[in-house]
Amino acid sequence: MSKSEKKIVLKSLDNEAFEVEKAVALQSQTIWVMCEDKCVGNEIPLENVTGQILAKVIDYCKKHAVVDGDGDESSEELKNWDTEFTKNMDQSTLFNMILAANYLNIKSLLNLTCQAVADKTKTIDEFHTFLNIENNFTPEEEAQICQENLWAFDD
Amino acid sequence: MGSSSIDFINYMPDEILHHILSFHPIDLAIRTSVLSRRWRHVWCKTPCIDFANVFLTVTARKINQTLSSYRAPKIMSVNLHTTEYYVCASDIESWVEIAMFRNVEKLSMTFRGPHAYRFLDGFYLSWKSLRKLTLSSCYLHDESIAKILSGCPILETLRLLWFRGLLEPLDLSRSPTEDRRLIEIVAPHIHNLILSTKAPCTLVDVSSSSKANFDIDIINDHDFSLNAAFIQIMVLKMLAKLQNVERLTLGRRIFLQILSLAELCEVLFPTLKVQTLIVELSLFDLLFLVYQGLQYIIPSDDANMFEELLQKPPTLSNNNNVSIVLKRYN
Repeated sequence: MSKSEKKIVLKSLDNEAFEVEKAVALQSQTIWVMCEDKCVGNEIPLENVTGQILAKVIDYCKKHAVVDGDGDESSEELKNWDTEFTKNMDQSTLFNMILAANYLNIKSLLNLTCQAVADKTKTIDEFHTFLNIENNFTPEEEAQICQENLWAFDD
Repeated sequence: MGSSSIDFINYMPDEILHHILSFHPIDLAIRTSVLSRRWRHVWCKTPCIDFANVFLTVTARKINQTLSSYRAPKIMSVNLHTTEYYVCASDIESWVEIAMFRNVEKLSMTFRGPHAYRFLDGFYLSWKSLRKLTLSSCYLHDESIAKILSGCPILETLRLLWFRGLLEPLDLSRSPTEDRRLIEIVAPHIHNLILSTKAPCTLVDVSSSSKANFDIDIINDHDFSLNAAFIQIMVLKMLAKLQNVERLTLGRRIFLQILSLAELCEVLFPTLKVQTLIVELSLFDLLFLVYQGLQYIIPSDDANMFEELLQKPPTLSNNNNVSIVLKRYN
């Protein structure tokens, strides 16, 4: 097999091209299906992901492709790497990563990024601030919703 | 960034919002219904319901109320728990039924009350979607386990924590799961560990065991294409986990076929605190031992020979403080 067959080119929404090992890219179920289809050549266009986000997704996939199948030590290391990976992501990067993981169908990355949002939204106030959610209920409506699910609001 | 990021979360597909909520306890998930109109009904379809990590008190009434508002066609995981001591068996039965109706894959239950697990009695159990089951603080009958194993055809993980009531050893042989190659034993509070297995397994934590009895019989099992080296490594790993065992009984297969091989290969044995080692041997095994170690003259009568051989063990153990008991295997 020639070297080029083991590699694959991923092209982002803004036309940035990334050459990666096939084993790295195939962690995405979406890319896997595209490759199976044979309709695409060696270059796969990803219309929903920007170059900036795709670069991060590839970082994640590279890390996870290398370590898979090793012992306990490396899984611990991988966990720490994952924590660092999402730790300092700003809100918009995190959201774009979630959408990318969802579109590319990379289950573990979707889990990791959704968990990262959950970790930053442990109270209703944090939901409002971190996710920039504006309350568009009238006070009466809000009181009614609280009443409906009273147990979750009061003890 | 203001309005654009508001749009952002509003345009997120519901599945993603559900996914985020699935990491939260159910009370917080419910409280997101007051965030905005977009979030009004999102929680009703989150695929995970977790009552165990709720900060507030959880009563049967609260669980009933929550489940009656719940709308997802499929539940991934349910973690049932109440802070009340008395929970009615029929309540638990109805919660489990709701979960099973929605093809739950992971079910965890922690109920402290004395009546909590009665529902497993006389309850026809068919949990076809269940992959992981955790029962905690419960009272279990021997039949309950048999029922669970026969009623959960794709069960992969069964965790029993802080349970009481089981009189018989846990018998997993009736589990319909074909692949039992991944049996892991995590039993840090078990004092007397009796392990009889035809499938390979791993001891993860048996640190409180002071007595252990192993009968491992996988050598002639053609279902497993395992070689002797694999079994030897497995058994040596198991022995290494028996840090606190004082009385160890080994079935004949382990002792001769596996450990002798290990010794031949000059594998290092784990150091144990064992004071009494009981090895079950057949007459043939004893003859083998005789030739290998004792250089004993074989008398003509089998029964007498066995008796005489049984007098011999001190020779085997005169270099250490272990008392070895050889038992005739029938």
